[in-house]
Amino acid sequence: MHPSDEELILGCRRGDEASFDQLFERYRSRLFTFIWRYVRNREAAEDIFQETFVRVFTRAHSFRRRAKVSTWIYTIAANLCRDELKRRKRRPTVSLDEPMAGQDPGQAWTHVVRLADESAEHPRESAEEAEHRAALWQAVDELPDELRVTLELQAQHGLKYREVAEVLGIPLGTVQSRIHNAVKLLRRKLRDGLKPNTART
Amino acid sequence: MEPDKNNIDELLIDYALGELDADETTRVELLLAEQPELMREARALKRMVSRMGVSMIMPPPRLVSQTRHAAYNARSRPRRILRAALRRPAAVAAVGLVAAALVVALVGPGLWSGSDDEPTGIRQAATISEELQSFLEHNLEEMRALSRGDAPAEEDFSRPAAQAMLLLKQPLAPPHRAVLEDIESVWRYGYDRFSSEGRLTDETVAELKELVTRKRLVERTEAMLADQPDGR
Repeated sequence: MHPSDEELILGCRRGDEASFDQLFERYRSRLFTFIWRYVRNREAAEDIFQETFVRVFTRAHSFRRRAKVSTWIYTIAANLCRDELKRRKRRPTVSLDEPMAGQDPGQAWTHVVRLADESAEHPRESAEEAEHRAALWQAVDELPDELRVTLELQAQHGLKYREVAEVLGIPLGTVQSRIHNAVKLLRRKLRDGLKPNTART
Repeated sequence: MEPDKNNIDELLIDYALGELDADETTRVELLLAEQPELMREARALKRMVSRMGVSMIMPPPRLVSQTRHAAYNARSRPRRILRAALRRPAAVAAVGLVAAALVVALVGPGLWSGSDDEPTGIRQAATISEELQSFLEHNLEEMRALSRGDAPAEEDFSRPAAQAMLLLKQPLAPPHRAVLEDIESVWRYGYDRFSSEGRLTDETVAELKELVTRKRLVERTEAMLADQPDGR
């Protein structure tokens, strides 16, 4: 049987490591992607990733069923990311490993996971499709951070506007306008013929 | 009124992102069927969204195993601290003395009083108000029939381990525990319903909460003691 997220959280409340493991497997790549794209620094992303899951396991009792488990987990991660960015603003540091513009998020590290159907066989991606995707990620990387993070939560992570608002702690209307602006900017950039090999360095 | 260009753009974005309800989706699709230009734009938007959706980054294996261990360790840390403290006889004696004194002072003489000869009486489990007693007597059967699906507790009653220690000297006798299980069930499974129907007053809710809190503290203490290797 495939336990629901809620069942796994109940297991975590009891201190059941197997439940935690399943939840961890289910969310690790999504969370890592979200965190890394949010803070854009490998070391900080690894610390936040670890702290997020420590909190999921040790604070499972504070989960309320009014929210979805996914929203709750993303909210923990988003709060930690925001703290990290505030800290960085106070004490600016130079990151040596910011993802490069135009880089598919999966290429920066080992490999890309296709979440839609991991068991299915996917046809090999055509060169043309790869080019489109690289151009898209380049354009996404050039968006202002708050538009980019908001759009990614919806389009990449599949959260609804309402859930994005909850995770980022902003009004629903702000989410909508950020996403509308982000998509309009992206469409304009892609229409203007942004080429993947013009990536900034 | 015809939607302007900006509104149509935003409607198409919401459509491509799957944020429209069924009616709105139908309306947009009718509009798209009439306007090929918009149809092309909608398709382009959908392609763009689907390209973003499939790519995720796998965390490095080293981080995966570190994170698992960090979570396991963090989860067991409070128990380890308590176990370490309880291995020292002086600490146990001191904690026991403080606990006994505080229990007498805080819990009061009436709580948990009662006779094991009358295991079914609600009043025997704890000193409770007439109002709560009457509520329980009239609603227990209905409450027991409610779904046992794990409804969320309305509040988090967890307290620091030090507070749980206060009840070390007051374990619940089995008949009292059974009655308190019922009281907790009212809280967990029937609270919303009874409260919204006006059958539970604010005072009774507060009283239920207090009883459930005490029961959970006792359980936590017992669980921690059960973890002791020498059964202390």
